[in-house]
Amino acid sequence: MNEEKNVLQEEIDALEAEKEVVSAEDEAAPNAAIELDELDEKRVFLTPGQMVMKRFFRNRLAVIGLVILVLMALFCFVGPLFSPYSETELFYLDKTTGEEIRMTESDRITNAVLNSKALPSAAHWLGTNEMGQDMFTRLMYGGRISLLVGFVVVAVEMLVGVTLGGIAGYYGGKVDMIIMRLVEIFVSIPFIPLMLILSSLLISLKVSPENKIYYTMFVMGIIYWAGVARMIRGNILSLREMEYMQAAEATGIRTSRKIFKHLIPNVMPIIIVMATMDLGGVILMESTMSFLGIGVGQPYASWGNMVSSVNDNVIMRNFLNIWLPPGICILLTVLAFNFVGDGLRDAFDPKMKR
Amino acid sequence: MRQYIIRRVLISLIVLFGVSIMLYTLVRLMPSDYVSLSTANSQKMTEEMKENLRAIYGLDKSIWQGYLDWLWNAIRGNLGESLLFKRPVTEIIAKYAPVTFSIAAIALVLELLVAIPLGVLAARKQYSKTDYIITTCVFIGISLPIFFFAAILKRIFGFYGLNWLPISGMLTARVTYDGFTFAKFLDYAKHLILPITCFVLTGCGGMLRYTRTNMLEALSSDYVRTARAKGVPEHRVVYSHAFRNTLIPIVTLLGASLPSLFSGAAVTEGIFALEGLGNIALRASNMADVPYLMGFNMFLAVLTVLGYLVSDILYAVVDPRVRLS
Amino acid sequence: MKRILAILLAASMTVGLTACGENNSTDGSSTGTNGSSATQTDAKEPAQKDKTLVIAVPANFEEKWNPLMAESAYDVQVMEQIFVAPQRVDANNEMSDWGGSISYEQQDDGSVIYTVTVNEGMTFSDGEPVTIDDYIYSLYVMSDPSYTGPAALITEDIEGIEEYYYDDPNYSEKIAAIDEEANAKYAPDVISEEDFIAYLVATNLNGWWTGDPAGDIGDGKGTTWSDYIIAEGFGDDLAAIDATDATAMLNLLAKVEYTKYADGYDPLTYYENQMKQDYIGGNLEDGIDVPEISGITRVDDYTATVKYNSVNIYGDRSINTYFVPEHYYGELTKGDVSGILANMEPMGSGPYMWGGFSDNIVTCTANVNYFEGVPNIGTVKWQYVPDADTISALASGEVDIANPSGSQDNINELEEQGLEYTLIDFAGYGYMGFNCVTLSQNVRKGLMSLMNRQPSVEGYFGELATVIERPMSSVLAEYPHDATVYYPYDPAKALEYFEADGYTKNANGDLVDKSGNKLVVSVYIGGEGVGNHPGYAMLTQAANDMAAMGAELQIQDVDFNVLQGAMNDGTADLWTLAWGAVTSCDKSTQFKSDGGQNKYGIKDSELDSLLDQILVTMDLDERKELVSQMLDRAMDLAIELPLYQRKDIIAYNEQNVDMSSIPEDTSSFWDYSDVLWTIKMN
Repeated sequence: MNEEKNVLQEEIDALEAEKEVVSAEDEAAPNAAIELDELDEKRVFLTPGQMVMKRFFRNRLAVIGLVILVLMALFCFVGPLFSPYSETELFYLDKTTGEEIRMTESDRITNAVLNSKALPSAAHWLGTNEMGQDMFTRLMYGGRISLLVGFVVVAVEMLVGVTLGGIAGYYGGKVDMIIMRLVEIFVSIPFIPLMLILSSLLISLKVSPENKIYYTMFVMGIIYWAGVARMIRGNILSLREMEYMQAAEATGIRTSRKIFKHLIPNVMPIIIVMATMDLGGVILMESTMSFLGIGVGQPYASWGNMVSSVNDNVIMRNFLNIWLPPGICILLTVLAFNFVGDGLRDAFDPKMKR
Repeated sequence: MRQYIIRRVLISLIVLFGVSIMLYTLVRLMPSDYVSLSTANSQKMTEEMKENLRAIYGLDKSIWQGYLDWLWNAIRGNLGESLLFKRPVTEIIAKYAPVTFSIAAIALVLELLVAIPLGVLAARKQYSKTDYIITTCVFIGISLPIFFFAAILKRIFGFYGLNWLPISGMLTARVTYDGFTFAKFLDYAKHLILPITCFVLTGCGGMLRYTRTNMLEALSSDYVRTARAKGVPEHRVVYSHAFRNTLIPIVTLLGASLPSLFSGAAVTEGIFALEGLGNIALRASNMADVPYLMGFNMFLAVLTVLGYLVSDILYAVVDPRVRLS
Repeated sequence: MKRILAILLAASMTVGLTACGENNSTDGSSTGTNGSSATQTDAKEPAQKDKTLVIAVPANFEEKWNPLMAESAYDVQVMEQIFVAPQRVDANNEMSDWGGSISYEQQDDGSVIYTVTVNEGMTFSDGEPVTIDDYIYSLYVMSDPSYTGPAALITEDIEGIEEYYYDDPNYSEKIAAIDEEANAKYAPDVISEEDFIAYLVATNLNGWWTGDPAGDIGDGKGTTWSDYIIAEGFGDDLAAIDATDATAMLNLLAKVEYTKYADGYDPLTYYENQMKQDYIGGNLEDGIDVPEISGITRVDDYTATVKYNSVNIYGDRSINTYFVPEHYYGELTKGDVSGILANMEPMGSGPYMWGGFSDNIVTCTANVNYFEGVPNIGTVKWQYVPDADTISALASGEVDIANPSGSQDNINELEEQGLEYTLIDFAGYGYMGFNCVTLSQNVRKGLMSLMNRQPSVEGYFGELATVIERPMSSVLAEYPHDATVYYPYDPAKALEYFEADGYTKNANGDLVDKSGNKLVVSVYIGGEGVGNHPGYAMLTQAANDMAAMGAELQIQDVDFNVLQGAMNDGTADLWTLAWGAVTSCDKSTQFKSDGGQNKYGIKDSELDSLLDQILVTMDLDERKELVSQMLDRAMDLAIELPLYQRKDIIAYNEQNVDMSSIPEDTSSFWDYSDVLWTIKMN
């Protein structure tokens, strides 16, 4: 019951919530009454942004999500700087002595065996994979690609989607009609067959394998824009009906001012929330594409192609160190994006649908 | 209203036309065609024989000409013959759609049964432990790829784990059933538990989030506050007032999920060796089977357009604020 | 592995008709395993009527249930139980009589006449007798212009077959006339400037021109077309045209190319193909001119002859096709066999009868009228089980016989589960192909010296594969087992080869040729996106080695169709594939200058003549010597890098299958499926 009331009150006045946070701290602090008074004064100065922040930090899951994301980003982007190995490096074992040989020692590797599926050790913290590459190093590089890929798709889809959705919603009429039909065409094209076709097209255009995934993702962003445009258009349509917009209209201010001063700030929350949640979705999509053999290809790593080995029966049963770490990384990251997205949505405006 | 529907149907046709042009162009742009793929390992094929085959399959025509031919036939209900399976595309779709559809439909119903009550509960107790636990558990389902769950489920319930359930196929081959008996039905059911679980695990999250958000919105609306103020018992407030209004958006969501019933199957069917449309579509994509890819993808596109049409109309019906002009 | 299997099943009909021959059971006279079933012949009922044998297949069926259409290895596996051919391949890869016989006689004029017979008294499962007409029928369907199945009978040198296929009684003469005319008009020394330029324009400078006048010429340095034209000394012409007009630019470029690089183009082949195409198309529209194949003669109800114009050591395999009941599949109309091919309810004279296909399971029941004897097991089913689940399906008793993919892990697993298995050599081999058009011989040799095959293959297959040294399956009698490594792994040596080709290190440390282009090589490999391929580690190593010397190896991990596309249109510099179902030592389709599968673009007269000699050398020892020479020549030219000869696993659940009924001499050519009708269950 108590929580329900909280919900209600929060809707009415965010400042009440503010108070509650304080009263929770209250129990621990002896001089709470004074602080409360101070805060009571301070609350007058809370900007809308600060209010959002406060509400966001009340959601524990969202906070945990944020922490996870920061840690993951550090792990993937800073971690590789400290790794003694490269992403694609193979390791061999001397057949007689069992000593590990690095791939640069070309005179010793002709008659060596690959150090594949090695168990975790001091040299390889997470062991090696089927091809004898260091799992821990690849986990860091893989995460880098998976995260970057997410950002590329989201940036593209947002750029195209917000622009076209905005135009459609703002101008309406024929422009709206054409853009919305395009949106419908794009959402009606089945995704997986399309990606298969596109991937083979890209390869035939001789895109280098290292960069192929970015092109694929660029295209993916272009396909995904339709959903964003739909949402933005709907939002702008309803915003235009609002009194304050009609008032702005009546004062005869410039179009650019209307768009940048009144409309964009009001659709910003939904853009941020959509972007956050889609980041998680794209990471999953990348792994599905890897599963279908059209994602990031070996020898480069991505969490998606690393986790695909879960389908190998022998690895599944005997080599936890090969499939579990990338699985956990994907799980934590996507979960975190979802938590943060949900938290942001609740914080901006619980009525906002996604 | 009727005018609105007619207009929407006409627009849908234009959309389908656009989709078909895009699809056909893309499919034909694939770097190698069916003939060179299917004869790739035939050591004795000559270029002349391949040209002859291309002429038989209509692959020698320009994209534009080929598209017009396809369109002309498609309008008359003839989707052509699959190059890979050498059967009419309509026959293949008619044969395998029921498998894919029934699996997905069962999964959808289960998803609803799980997601709606949990979503309502989570909304009622926002920011509580219950909310966190429900959200976390269900969100795990949308935070891992479906093939990951499939592998884990196979491991746990399959031969190497508890050995309770078969991990692939649709029927026990050893047994020969005489017609569609109850025993056969049970056999199907046993084989389909894992794939359906996979769908439910990965499908619940979205629906739960949708329910939770809508429920939160309803709970904070004026009429709920009024009802509470009047002293209506809490469970009546929640279930009669708030929940009913949440149902409307959920119903429209169902319309939109019509096509996803088919498109989601591609990966799962392959893993569990189910013979459905999605699995066939993957194989067809790999072999550049133009007629099947066109037929199947257009089938999905029609479903999508239909789904949007239905949900738009439903929306217009339930929400008078939507302008019909 | 899944992907490799897929590639192989596409390949399964490689030597299309040969596969038909690798069929059931020992021949009628043989005793031993079929002794018990002989006693039951009178009862006309399978001894284990109520038993069901379940065989797992590791890939989806293609569902082409037609003897003349079946293409994937698993569709074919089922068809082999339903149909019978005159001969089949025995455990030693030699042809032996089965439902009839095939013998040959060499004529004085160099032609060969094959006599094909059918056993009298054999019947189809509907009771109708099998006659030679059912054999001739399938030859005609496969030779029909509208035939779309996998067999390539019309490439055989059978008298009159091309005339029939192209429906022109004067086919050979006309083709000869076209060649002559093309030579007279379009040969390099006589071709007119207009024709040459027309060719360049029509083919977009043989595929070089991208259609974008502002684009670059694809040399990796961003040289634009305009730069190129000016550099070639045609700046004045360029100034005279509108440089943004694609057509004008193309025409000017064609002029540039004609003037300066005419030697690099081949208008003759282009015009020849054009003329042939014009001629071949549409011959049937004016009615049937050639109703019969002159080389196929029906002698009596049980005998026919097939005449080859020239000697072909594999002629008997090529014409060894199923007896397909004409009365069931319907009368043949030339030019329209689609009705016959669309019949997906097969009926033949083999040991099992078609029962149906549903839920990924094929059901067949015993044909009690099978001519060798009554099959032992009443029902046989084939079920699709994904490769990853095969062993657990076997261990749990869901299936009785399966082919798990060959790897050390699977062997360990089988032993752990206490399952019986046999290892058989795979009738094929894995290789890496080299594009001889884009890569010079020295570069190819250099690349070969960068491939550290041993650890890569061993790491993937364990002990289930060996590295081979010549591009041929080592199961073939002709394979030179004493051959040694031709290009040992040696990055220093590789660099020498590259330098011999004119590559030098520039200031940036890049390995560049004389015009400053960096050495960039692309390799296409089907590793399912996750490096699942025996050659992957080797390529990763080579990529790193090349990066160290300032060159680049781009590994494109792609799907089979993309790989095919890149290989066919010549964009791939290297590609890894496997030849499957190779039962002959004839490499001429691959290595000959005009070979149908010469994707390497190799043209070498010495190799050509060796290949020709092999095909007409009947004596095995002589042939072995020639094959060895030919393979050495191929290695020196660096066309194909042989990778591995692997083994397949056949695994059984011995609780269900009576292991004493499984043939002991199981080989790549002979296994349980060849004697399926005598297999017993416990």
